[in-house]
Amino acid sequence: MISRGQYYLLTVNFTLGTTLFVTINGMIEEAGPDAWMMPLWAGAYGMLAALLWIALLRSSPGKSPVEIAREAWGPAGAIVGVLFLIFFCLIASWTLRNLSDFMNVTIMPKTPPSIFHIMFLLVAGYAVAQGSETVGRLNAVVTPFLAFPFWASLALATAFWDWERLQPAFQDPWAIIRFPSLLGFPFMETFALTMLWPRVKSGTAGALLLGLASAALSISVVVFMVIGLIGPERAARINYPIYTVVQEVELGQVLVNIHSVLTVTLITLIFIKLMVLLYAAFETIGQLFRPASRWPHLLAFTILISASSLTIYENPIQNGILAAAHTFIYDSLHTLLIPVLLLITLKVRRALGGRSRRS
Amino acid sequence: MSRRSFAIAAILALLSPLLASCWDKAEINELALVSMVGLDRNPDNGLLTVWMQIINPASGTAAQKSPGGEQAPVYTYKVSAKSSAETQLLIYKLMPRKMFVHHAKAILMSERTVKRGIRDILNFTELMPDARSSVPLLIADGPLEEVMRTFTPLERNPAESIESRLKLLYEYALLSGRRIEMRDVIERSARRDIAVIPMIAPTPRTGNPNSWQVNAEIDANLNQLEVGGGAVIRDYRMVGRLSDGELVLYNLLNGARGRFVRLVPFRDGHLSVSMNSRGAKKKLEWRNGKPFVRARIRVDISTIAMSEYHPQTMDEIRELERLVERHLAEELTAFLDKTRGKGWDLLRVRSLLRRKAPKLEDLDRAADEAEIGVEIEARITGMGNLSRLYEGTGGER
Repeated sequence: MISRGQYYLLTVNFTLGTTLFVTINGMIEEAGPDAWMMPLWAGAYGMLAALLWIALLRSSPGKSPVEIAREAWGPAGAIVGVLFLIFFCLIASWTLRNLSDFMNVTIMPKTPPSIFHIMFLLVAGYAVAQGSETVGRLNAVVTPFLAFPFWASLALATAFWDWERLQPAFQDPWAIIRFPSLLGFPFMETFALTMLWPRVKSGTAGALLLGLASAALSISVVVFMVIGLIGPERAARINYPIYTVVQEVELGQVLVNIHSVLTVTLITLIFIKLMVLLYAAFETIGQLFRPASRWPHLLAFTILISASSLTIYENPIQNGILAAAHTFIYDSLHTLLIPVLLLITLKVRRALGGRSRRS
Repeated sequence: MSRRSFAIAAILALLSPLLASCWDKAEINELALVSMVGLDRNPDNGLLTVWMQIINPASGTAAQKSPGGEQAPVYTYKVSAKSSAETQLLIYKLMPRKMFVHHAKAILMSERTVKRGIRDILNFTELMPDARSSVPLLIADGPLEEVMRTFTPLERNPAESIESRLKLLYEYALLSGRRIEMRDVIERSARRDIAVIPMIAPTPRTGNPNSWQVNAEIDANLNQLEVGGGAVIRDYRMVGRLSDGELVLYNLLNGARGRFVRLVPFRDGHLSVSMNSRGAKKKLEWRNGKPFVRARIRVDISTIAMSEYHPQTMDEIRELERLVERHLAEELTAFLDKTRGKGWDLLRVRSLLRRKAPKLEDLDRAADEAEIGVEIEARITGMGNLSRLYEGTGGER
């Protein structure tokens, strides 16, 4: 069992995960100086989606969505389980590939991407094999080491702050409508956290909602700072604006390389996201097929996910195209449509069951 | 003395040859470590001149820091004789230490020597059990005397400087290959196959600077050596040259894996496309009884150097990939047509036929008649740090 606080931190770090890498320049490209408002709208939407999941999970306490699907639809529910399994694996591959793209572009151009994929999967697999407590505690232990250097290195950059870059303000606060993929990624992807739900002691709903709100606020602050520090023109074009912000910081003559600190923070955040996704996929396998032995699946996941990370897209340009075209629909199918249908089925069956019992 | 003690003494005395330790011992401070060798055969008088660059053991960092401690990192010895064997012995007229060639990092030969043929020199080095043929062989474009007496800045030992540059040129420019060593020239020539090895030339000189002066000069282009171009070797002879641009194509055709940049015509200008070669595959097919060689080359494209244009949609990505494929295939085909016209089989079709169709009677004719189809498979896999370029006026065109 993990505590409410650990679940909260997992939610925050999971949501920040790859978001800080890949979406910032997209947001700023869409909304210019007002981009910092987009994560707030998207976060509010994410909390609404989370309310739906909470309703679903509360209707059958102690069960994960995969088990609820079997309860609601019987054997056909297993199909939902398989869909969720593919969903978690795909997001995990996508996350890993975003990571290796980042590393290849910024500091390690010659390292083969598969090395990043396999190494991360092996470590995450080991953590997942130890169970939910390890996942929760590991994240709780590393969080201070992530949050402090991250905000400290951004704070050091504020010497170059210019308010002019944030003007004209409030010209396009509703740009979120033109950027729906932000709703899917990262906010609807947090559905993976519901697989941990039955393992949390109490107060899970509050932790999840608060976690989403904190993450949305953090992303908003980061976007705000990125705009104020390098301006919407450059930030919209540069692939990894946070990295550039910190890269341009020079502390006297000595500290000119603090972006490596930021890199470590960002890849650890991604690791946490990967770990939760792997846990979700692993639990799904466990609940669907009830296998006798557990660890061989983690090796299988390592092979599967490291392979699909290589093939999920050809190049970072296609990544953007794919995300814009499919994320929202794909995520909505898994995290809105299926939960709504499950919830309706459960309500209807219970209503019918109650009536037949009464008569 | 009793008979017994006499016997013991005699046995001990007889054992003394075993105490001679190692007969073949070579103390490191009795050796002259050769780092680079230069060879030139004068066609007029038939004299073979050998230059040996010997590492100066006292030129380490400690020696440089002591006052007046700047010493030459290498010393060049020169000796001339009618034959290779004689030069090896005559060098001791000058050199106080035993020559040790096993650590040599580069072998340089003058162009006129290689044009006449180097079979005898190669035979001699292969005969020597202590010589190593796995050393890059370079051809000096210009007087070898000057090349062997040139220090290099930054990397003070010229042989190490050359070795390091060859590696960098391979990885980042495809201007050097993996098969540039003496053993490759031997093997390829023995198979009547073509080898291409790098060339080296001295840059403009200001007098006869010593190591200190070379390292004190800000203009690193002066007084040093420049690697560039390729020498085509067939039958132990240099038969021609490749320019830098052609060298990239040659290395690409022969499966080198490295980065390079090519200008590709695009709309009314050019794109500078950064590519990473992923290897080449040659396949032999038969068409109407004639051999057809299909050369497939895979390259990964990155938009990292493409400051002119950045594809945004899948259609644009595909368009760019096809464009690079077409352009590269055209360039390679034109290059092959031109060099085959000179009788150079740079795709090494003959070698392919020998391996895949060993029963063929006239290999040379079949190789000449063979048709070649070049296919490129280009994929955009990487990008730089921009997802969109800055627009507006102020561009170069």
